[in-house]
Amino acid sequence: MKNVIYTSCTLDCPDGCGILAHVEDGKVIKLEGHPQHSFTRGYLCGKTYRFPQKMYSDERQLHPMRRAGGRRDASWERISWDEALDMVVKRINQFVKESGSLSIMHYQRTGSWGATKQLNRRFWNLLGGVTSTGGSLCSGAARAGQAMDFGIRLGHDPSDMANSNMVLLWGRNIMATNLHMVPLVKELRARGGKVILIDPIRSESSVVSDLHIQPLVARDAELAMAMMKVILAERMEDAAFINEHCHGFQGWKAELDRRSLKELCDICGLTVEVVSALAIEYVRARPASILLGWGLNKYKHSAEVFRCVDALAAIAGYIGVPGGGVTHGFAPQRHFDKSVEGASLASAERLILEPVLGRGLLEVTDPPVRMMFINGGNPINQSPNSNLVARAFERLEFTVLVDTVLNDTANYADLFLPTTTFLEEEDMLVSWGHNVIGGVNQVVQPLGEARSDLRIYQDLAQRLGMADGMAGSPREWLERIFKPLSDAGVEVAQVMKQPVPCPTAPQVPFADRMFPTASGKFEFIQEMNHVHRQVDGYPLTLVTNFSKTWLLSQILESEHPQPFVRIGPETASEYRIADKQMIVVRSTVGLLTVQAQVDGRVGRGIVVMPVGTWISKGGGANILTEDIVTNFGEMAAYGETRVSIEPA
Amino acid sequence: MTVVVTDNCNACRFTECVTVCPVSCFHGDDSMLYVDPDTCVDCGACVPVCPVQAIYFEHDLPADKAHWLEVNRTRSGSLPVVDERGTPLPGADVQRVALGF
Repeated sequence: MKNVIYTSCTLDCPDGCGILAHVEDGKVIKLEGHPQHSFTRGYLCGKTYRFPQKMYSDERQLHPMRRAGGRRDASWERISWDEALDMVVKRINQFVKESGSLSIMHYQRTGSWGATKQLNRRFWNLLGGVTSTGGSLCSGAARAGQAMDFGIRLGHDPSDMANSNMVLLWGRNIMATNLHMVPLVKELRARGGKVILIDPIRSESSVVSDLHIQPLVARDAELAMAMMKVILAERMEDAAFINEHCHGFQGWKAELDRRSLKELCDICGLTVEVVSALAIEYVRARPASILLGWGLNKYKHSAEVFRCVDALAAIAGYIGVPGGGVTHGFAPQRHFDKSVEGASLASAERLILEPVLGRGLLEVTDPPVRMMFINGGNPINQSPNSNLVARAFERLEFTVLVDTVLNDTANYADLFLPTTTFLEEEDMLVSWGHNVIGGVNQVVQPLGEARSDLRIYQDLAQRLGMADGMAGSPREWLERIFKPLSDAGVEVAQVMKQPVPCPTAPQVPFADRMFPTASGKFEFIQEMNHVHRQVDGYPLTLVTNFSKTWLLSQILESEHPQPFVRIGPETASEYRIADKQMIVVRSTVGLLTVQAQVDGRVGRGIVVMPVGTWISKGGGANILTEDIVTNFGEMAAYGETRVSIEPA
Repeated sequence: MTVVVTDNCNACRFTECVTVCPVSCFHGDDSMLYVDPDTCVDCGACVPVCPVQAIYFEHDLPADKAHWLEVNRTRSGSLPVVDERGTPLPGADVQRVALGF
């Protein structure tokens, strides 16, 4: 019996694809890209094509499990859902009674962008409020920076690229992490436009680029400043936009005047000629767009970096202009009625910032955190300073991991609850990379004894006398969550049938030149005087980027690559390291012994390690990363990590 | 902005790749397959399924295989699409073992 079911990929990626899932006799046999989804264009990425293999893999855990004898170093033994839920409830009651609800921590991350995951927080608010996370691991500084300039981080719709004559791919590797932007960029080139890649690494996206500008790592603010100086010196700025719609230009101009063009270019490791040519091409393109990526968003001053790039586009006259702009992403929870999270139901609240999870857990008292409940995350692997996070987790008395596989965090868990993948759930997707709303239809029944997050919380709520607070089918909850959207004329029932372009999303933000800032205008940053962090004994900068072939830490153990780092030929020569040689990479918080790949595409002064390899397999980039918080946005500044390397 | 089929395909022609390609961009003659670089969408689905790892992202082509980029473009232009799994060539398994897979 064959069937084709529409759904959407809720994995952590800006592409948020529409999917047609082919099912035969209750089993997913293949996934196809939705042909009518304007961004998906009928094809998925290699990772998602192989998702059914992950879903049906032997590594998938399908039953609740606890540690034999209750000891964390013991093996896992299968138990029933009743036993598992009773255990959780018993512990919740115990800790609330002994130490108050803040002694419990709920750790929620973005393993899934499905809307119903909002309801996970609701459960803990119904309980009275627990310790949860604040800050950000990944977009906080970018959001903060763009909010300071524009009032909100809001990108151009991808379709607006059709209006661009040029695009700068700035610290954004679309070929690896935003695949469906590639045809839009190819189309730009086909009509004679130019694509410029700005990256300290010649990434996969260089194959769709006309030019690669390779600054030294983390010098993007200085590059943007240099470009602005060139544009102003040539009197090519958009004076009308600056005078009528901006605030703070004079202060920023004074800051730019304090540094010479040569000084700024030297900091970037680029010549004045290259930077001048880039600036003039950019301002002449009329219009040019900028796609900013995570390459710029790993530093203590990342919000300020974004502000400098925003300022560049403002000076060039590309804000609120079709084909222009500075695009990073879209607020993922726009269109939601956030009240479903039940924040007002809680009487207590305490936050531990994600970038300093380890430190936070070790330091909080009155009460200390005694129990941890994890949804949609792998904090041991993904938080900065994995070793410190592990030390903190060792001190917890009871840790519950809700997941599909035994990942690095499972080594610190006492109870494992098997959950569903997006192919086994009903939900809705609002993408952070485009404006098409996606329906997530349940393609197959949950495998084994897997239960969705919502179901697990409803089961727990029942046992705690809070059933009414969590009651409702997924569809009923979606109707509530998406009331703002249905008020705008888009019904949940429609969204569950096919991809629906959001009717309220602007193709070009700020086209009306109304900025939700205090001044109502675009705000220029006023100062930027950053010095690249140096740590004695650790001369290289660690760059943790994202692989094209796997997503974050979602790797089947049977497919796990040998952990590796990439270094450039100059670095290899300086440290006398040969290609494929085993090396020790050391930071102030950890060390790894991994294979070195000498790669001519990697720039000077950096060691590049892809995110997500498993600590249990000898990898784990966050064994090395220091837990440093950004100046704005309370985000993890992974890229402030400095390392040394030597032959093993 | 494409993938490239290289020498290991020659005399094997396993055709596992075509079973996962969403855009039917593989073309073939009697010896091996070639990817039409203008149709390929870089999804990468084919790369891990080739039993002899004959397929590379263009970006990762080793210097000694760089010429295959043009070979794929030229040959795919004049050969029919292959979008169904076929029988590998006789000796394909022997070759696979000899290549170390």
